[in-house]
Order: sequence, then structure tokens, then C-alpha cells
Amino acid sequence: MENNEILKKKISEILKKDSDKFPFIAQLWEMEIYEKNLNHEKIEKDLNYGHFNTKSYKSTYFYKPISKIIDFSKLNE
Amino acid sequence: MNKTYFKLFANCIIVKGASRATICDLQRNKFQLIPLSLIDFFDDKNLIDLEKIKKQITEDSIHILNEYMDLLIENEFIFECNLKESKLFPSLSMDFDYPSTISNAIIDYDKNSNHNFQKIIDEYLIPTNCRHIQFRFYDGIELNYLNDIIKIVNESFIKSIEIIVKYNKTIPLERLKEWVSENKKIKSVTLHSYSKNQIVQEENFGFGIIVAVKQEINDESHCGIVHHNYFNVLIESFTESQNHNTCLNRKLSIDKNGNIKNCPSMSQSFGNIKDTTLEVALNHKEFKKYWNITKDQIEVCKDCEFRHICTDCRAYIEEPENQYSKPLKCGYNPYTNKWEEWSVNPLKQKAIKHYVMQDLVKK
Amino acid sequence: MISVSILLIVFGTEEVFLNIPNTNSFISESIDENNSKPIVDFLNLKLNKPQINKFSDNNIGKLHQLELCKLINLKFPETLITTSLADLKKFVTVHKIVITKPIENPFSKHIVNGKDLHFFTSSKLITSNILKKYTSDRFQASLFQKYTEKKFEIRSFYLNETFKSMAIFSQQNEKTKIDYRNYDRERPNRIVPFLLPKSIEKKLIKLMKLLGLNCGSFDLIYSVNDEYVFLEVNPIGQFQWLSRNCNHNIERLIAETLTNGE
Repeated sequence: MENNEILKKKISEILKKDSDKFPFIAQLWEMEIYEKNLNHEKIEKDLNYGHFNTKSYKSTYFYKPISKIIDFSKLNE
Repeated sequence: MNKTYFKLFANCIIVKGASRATICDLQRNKFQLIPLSLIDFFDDKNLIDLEKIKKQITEDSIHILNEYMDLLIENEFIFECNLKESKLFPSLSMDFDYPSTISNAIIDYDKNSNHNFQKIIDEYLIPTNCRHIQFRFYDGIELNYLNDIIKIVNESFIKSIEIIVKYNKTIPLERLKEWVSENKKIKSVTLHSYSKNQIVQEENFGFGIIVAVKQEINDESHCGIVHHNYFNVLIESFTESQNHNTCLNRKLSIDKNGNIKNCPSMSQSFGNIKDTTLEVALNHKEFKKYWNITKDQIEVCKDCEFRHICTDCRAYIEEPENQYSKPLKCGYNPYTNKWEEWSVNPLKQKAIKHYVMQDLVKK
Repeated sequence: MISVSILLIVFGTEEVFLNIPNTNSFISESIDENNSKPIVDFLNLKLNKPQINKFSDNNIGKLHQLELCKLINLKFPETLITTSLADLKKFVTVHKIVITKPIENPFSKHIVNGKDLHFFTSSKLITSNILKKYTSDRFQASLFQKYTEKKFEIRSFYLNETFKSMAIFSQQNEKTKIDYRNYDRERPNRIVPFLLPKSIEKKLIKLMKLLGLNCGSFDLIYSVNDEYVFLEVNPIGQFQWLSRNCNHNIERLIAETLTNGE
């Protein structure tokens, strides 16, 4: 987005001009700008875990196949 | 003395078979086939002394040695170190530890089943800390029925579920895709008895994949497949395989009639969910009978280079009276390195009849 | 920019949000003094039961750790903290290869014009090229260290004098060579179990006692000169990947420590 590129340039200039307000590495920082995703809260539904109602938006699956009922050798027919 | 050796990384483990071997890369989840002669280059500390080997082999074998070294280095199976440093790198612990008495469960349904899923989760899964379930539906069901189950799953501590269900043409695929995306604990949905084999929805970080297959899975006798797609190269499964049965260890199943079993394909029942408590079933002296049968104890498998990345099956075996015989549906021969179609193997026909599986035999 | 404090008061089942401008900070101060402070003080006590560090241990400073290393004869990279480009140039002349690192937390996120702004690059190698192009004479106090050429890195989880260590081979991969946190998901660095020599473990135990910590994650380098070089100890370091990749079962160690083996 053009807007973001202009913003990045502006910030680079500030980092250089006010160098004594920022650490040495500031002028070497890589920058990424993300639009605030207002729908983020609506899309993600919390997943419930544990006995204390801990919530997360990520899950993990089991480390091995639970059963072997799907016949992969037949998939090429 | 700072002589350089090459050491095998601890998470790259050599598994020797009858006629070849594998290096199981437990960190990067893959395996590499290697000839048995390559194993001889490593000493008992998994060190290669290249200087010494070069002195011992003939001139025309040098290029083979170089090929082997290239393979090992390209795959990052080995690293350089001196003798003193080599002692700082211990081997990987083969302990298996899992924070649940039951780690995984299968629940089967057919059109006559009327399991009380809330009861199953409250009385059998929560007390054992079982967080992973596979549901298998042999007949078509309504989305509402699945939704009732998923609501209970979502509010519970269950981490992931897999669903295998018969294709029901009254549920539009688009609606199904939506439903799966909304319910984030669904790892996969497999629609069986479909018109063709296809991927309906791609995965999203390992979850939410929908696949359709032609295979008509109308009962549990279809289970027990041995295929390289089921191979699993991970620390968890590899260490489990050292001392436990890779299919039945810590597994609990409810068959389509509500019977509590190790797996729905086994005949022995430990009660029914209607009237048998978890405690009674789990403490039955034969409930854990198969949990510690390892691949190293099973005939033919003990000579197979894939034995610790494969998943066993004790329900369908070549000799039903011999609990240490090879899985019936494995068509691999570690003595010849050939994969063959198991269902037409004349030596397996007796067992096939025993299990009443004739309809699974390829024509 | 006006900063606004938001005070949340819960009446029964209702939640009421009050937007209070900064001038009313005395309200939050007195709540702090009477409610939060006693709770935080309690969390900072050494309790009469098994525990993993104290609440305030989350803030152990990197610089304090390096000072203590001198006391116990534990090697660490030559370090410079300065605001002057001239000082940095002298340092680079002496030490040839220099790396700059954040003094504390590497992650930097800000909000600008309603958007999320992220800065990456937590560490960087200072090349003569970079020095030539750098025009500012002064900057905020920054940390520079002599770059240690390594054979591999060591991450060690410590709990009550037990060490669970791993070696990270980041050198084969250009992407991860400088900072192994620039993860290469395609070809993750080799991570294997490791045994620290007893002589090093002894020094690290001493360091932990001086810091008053019973738990932490060490970052060390095994240099090309076969030396162990201390980088830092993190009281709240992540251990899950260390435990899983090496099958160390740190989770069980922690559980057994906290329950006294019951």
C-alpha cells in the first residue's frame, strides 16, 4: 500500500533526525506495518482448554494416526 | 589431539532391517533409506573415523564412501567434532511419557447407535485426560447431530477431533466447509462413499481439512491398513514404539453398540457404556494386555526397517491365534523390500475368512 | 499525545468503564498502594513451599548478570555500552567483528496512525560498510559486544541445580547464523541434547545463587576456540522446544519440583 510506504519513509526520517532518542540499531530496523484488523475479535473464537477454562485460539493435534481405516492404496483408482 | 570425527546427531536414529536400514530423522520428520553397509562405518558411539576407514577400504570403494558421506552431510545427519567434544553429546532418551492414562479414543456410530456423548466425555474421557478423539460414522447422519457433538467438544478440554463420515448428499459441501471452519477443534473430516477421491478443503495450520474418498467404509473391518502414508517420524511415536504398542497403547474405544474395547475391531469387550464404569473397564485384568506388545516382538516386523515409524495393528493379524504375528493388511516384505497387495496374497486368505472380510478382497 | 487511564469497576454483574484523564492518577496510585502493592509484595516473598523463582525475578537485568560473571570467572563477550559513534568505531577497530543487541527486550511494537507498526532486526552484525554509512554522532545508550565465532550455541534449562541442556547448530544456515531466532522453518537448525561439563555447571550454579534464582534458561556459546562463553540467563525462558526436541521431559521435572514429588 502506498500509504504505508510513505509512512515508513516518514518514520525512517524521524529515526535519523532524532537519532539520540533511539538506539543505534534503529536506523537498521526492518519495518512492517499492519492494518489494524477490527474484525479480528469477531473471527477468532476462543478454544477452551483445561480445568480452569484457559482459552487459546490455537490447538494441537495428536502425534500419530488414531486409526488406520482409510485405504490410501485405493486413492489412485 | 584434535583429530576430526563425524558424529551422528542424536535425533537421527538408525533402524536396521533384514536387508536395508533407515535413518529416522525425528527432528525433521522424515526417513532416509540406507544400505546395511553404511551402518558399519559408525562405531558404537555413532562416530565415523574417516581417516581410519579410508585406510581399511580398497581404492575402488573410495567413491562409494564419498557418496555415503555426501548423503550424510547433505541431509545434515552428521557433524564434525573432536573426540573430547563427542562425549558432550549424549544419545536421545528413549523414555516415553504422556500426561494421560488414555491418550486417544475412537467412537464408532452406525444408524442404530444412540451413544450419550456427554456421558462418554464426562465419565470416560475427562477422568483419563483424553484430549483427542476420532469419530467414525458408518452411515449417513444429519449435520445437526454432528453439531450437537461439536458443541460439547468445543466447551470441553478436548484439543482435537477427527471425523470420518459417510457422504450425505443432503448436506451441501459449502455448508460443510463453513461448519468445519467455524469449529476449530476439527482436525479433519473424511467423507467416505463419495463419487470420487478429492480434497474438498485444504488445511489451515494442520486443522480443518476436508477430504472425500470413494472407499465405502461401512464397518470397522476396514481398519488396520498398513501404508507408508501412515508412517510417522516423530520423537513421541518413536519413543512410544520402543516399549509400547503403537496402536493400542493408552487407547480406549466405544464400538457402534456402545461396547468398551481396546479398539472397535477387537472382539473382546470390557462392558458397555450403559452400565459399566470407566474404573471397572480400565481395571479389568485384560484391558491393558496389548499395550506393551512392541514391534521388536512381532514376527517379520522385528526385521523391518520401518518398524518404529509404522503403526501396528493387533486386531487383524496373519495368524489370529498368535498374538505376535504380523498385521494382516501389511503387504511389505522386509526380506525382499517389496510392497505387495495384501488382500490377494494366498497365504492371507485363511485369516481373511476368519475375520469375515471377504468383501475387502480386491477383485 | 494524551494518555488516558481506564479504570474498570465491577458492580455486581455489571461492568462500568470510566475514562479518566491523566489528572486523576491519584486514584490509581492509592489503589496501587492499598491493593496491588501488598499482593505484589506477597508474590515476591520466598514461600515455605516449592516455588520457581519470585515474581520480581522476571526483571533481572542483563548487565547485572555480566558483572557477576566477572566475580566467578565465567567468560563473556567484551561489552560496550555507549551513546557515541566515536566510541563504537574505536571498539570495532579493536574487536573487528561486533554485534549490537537490545539491552533488554528485543520485540518492538508500536501504534502509529491507528496501524500496528513492528520493528524487526533485534541483533545486527556491524560491518565497516554500516559504519561508513551511519551519519548520526549520537544515539540512545546501546549495547555492543564482540562477536564470538561459534561451533554451536547452548541453551540450558536450570532448576534447583539440575541442568537440561541442548546444543543448537545454527552455523550451517546463513539465515540463522547470527540470531537463531530468525527461524528457518524449512530446514530448522539441528537441536540435540548436550552435557555441560561439571566445571561450567559449577560456575553457573554459583551465578544463580548470587542472583537469588532457583530457575532460569541459560544462553551460552561454544566458541571455535573450544571455550564456553556466557550470553545471558533468562529467569522466564521458554523451555518447551528444548524439552520436546531433546525428550528432556522438563514438564515432569517442574511438576515434581512443585508437588514435592507427591
